[in-house]
Amino acid sequence: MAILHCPFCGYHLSTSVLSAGRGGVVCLACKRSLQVLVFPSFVEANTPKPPLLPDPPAEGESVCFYNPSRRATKDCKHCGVLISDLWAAQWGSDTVCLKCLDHLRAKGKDERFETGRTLWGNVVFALAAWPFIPPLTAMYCMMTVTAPAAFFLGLWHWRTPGSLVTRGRWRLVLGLILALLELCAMGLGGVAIFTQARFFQD
Amino acid sequence: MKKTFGDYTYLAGGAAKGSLWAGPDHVLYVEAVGLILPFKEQYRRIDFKNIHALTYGRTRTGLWMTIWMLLLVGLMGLGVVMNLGSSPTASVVFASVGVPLLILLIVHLAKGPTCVCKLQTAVQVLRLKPLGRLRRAESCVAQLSELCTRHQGGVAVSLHEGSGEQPNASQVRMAGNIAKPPFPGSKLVVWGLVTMLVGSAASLADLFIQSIAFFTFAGLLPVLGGVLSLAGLARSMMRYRVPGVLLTALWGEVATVALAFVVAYALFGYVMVKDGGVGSSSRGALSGVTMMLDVIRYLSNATFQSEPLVAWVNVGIAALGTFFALLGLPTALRPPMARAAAASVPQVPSPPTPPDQP
Repeated sequence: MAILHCPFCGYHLSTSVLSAGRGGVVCLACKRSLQVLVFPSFVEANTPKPPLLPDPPAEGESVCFYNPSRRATKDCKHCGVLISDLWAAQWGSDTVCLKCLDHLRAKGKDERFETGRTLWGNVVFALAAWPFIPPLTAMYCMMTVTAPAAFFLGLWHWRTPGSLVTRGRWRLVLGLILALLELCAMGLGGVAIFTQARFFQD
Repeated sequence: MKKTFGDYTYLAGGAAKGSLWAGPDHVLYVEAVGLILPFKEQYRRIDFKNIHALTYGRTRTGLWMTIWMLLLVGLMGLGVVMNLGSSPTASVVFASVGVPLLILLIVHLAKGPTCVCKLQTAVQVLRLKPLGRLRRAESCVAQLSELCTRHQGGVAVSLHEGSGEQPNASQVRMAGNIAKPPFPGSKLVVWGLVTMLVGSAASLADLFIQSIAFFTFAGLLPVLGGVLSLAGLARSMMRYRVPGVLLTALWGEVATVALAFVVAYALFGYVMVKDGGVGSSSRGALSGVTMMLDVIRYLSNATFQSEPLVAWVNVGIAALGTFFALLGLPTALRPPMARAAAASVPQVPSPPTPPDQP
């Protein structure tokens, strides 16, 4: 049975709340006014359904690969086996068996079903740009670690795809340029210190 | 922000908070994970036909944000006005913090009131962070509603109008109102408030005690109080029905610590440029650590006579901390005191059982 939750406190919204009067639904627990928009699938989910009956295959009918006591009604688009309704799942517009679904979710590289991506462009940019943020500038010595790290990560993930939504890698390029400048500045600083030390020794 | 990519059409949001996209048969929620910049994106796809409900409501976050930002802008404006004649550089420092805050405030006011919006399916309740503003949420919910009804068939029922179009109670069988238990008191909350109270007192005392060690102690105590308050708040809100007064007090404590950080940063800049710098750092080689130590020494020696602005700002923040701590402490202490009172009542011995009848 499906239930509605208050967006503020998460309590279950009871029937008395749903039948509240004009001016907005009020959650009885947190006493806050809210707007609720219910779709037909909610009512459908609350409609009692008959229990799933066994579906044995008739003479000459195909049987489910995973459960031979059930009639096969579909075939898996991924591995091709015949499956019953119980073992079928939707993967986009394709019907697949539950084992293939598990495999696709764990290892599948299908962009349509990707669950997440690391935005290396932003990581590189943040690593290279943080010394320019005023309160953090005082910890500039940390740059000796972050600048090479930004440069290395930028080159390593040059071809790694970025966000699914936004294209372009200007942050990665900018991060690489900043990291390179920081490395040059550190190198020049090192040379200056070295030559000054030699000058004082002489 | 792009308006389309692949089969998707933009609905709401941006890169930092995540975004919502309408696909051919599902809604794509791009959840951004990171600090200021998103470092990771998580993708959630919800079929239109599986969406049960969309709920949203106006929150008070926007109001509190306006109040705190107005307070900060006012403080920075005060700093600019007070130093206009004596130290123009200090005025510039205050203005450099105040102007961006003022812009943020204007943008915040232009965006309108804040809200929380949640999407419900049979297996999850998903908070749609891109729909954080009421105006945007209303238009986006209307778009989503149209898409959902097109894929599900039938008509979406809005329950906010109180019309007769509500689902039949026999069809929509709701669970009972399972309320969270009342707040039983929390040691973490009490310690957070007490630490904040002591920290505020120490900040005031620091104006009369010229010592770097005491200054550090007085600075760290409110921070500790704020952290404890935040931890107590998170722990209590998840499990219990926390009274509104206590919630206000705890959020106030957290906001006071945040305010203190912003003000400390502005004061840091103010002290750095005041009269061309302080101590040794103004002359010759500047190192970050020396500069910081110089500023800490300067701030720790500030009194009403030498630095009235620093002193009064200190008093203001300490007063805020004290106010919120005193507001929350009675409510936080009530449940444990009630328990102690109940425990001290002597137990009445139960009457002896009558002998069995022969």
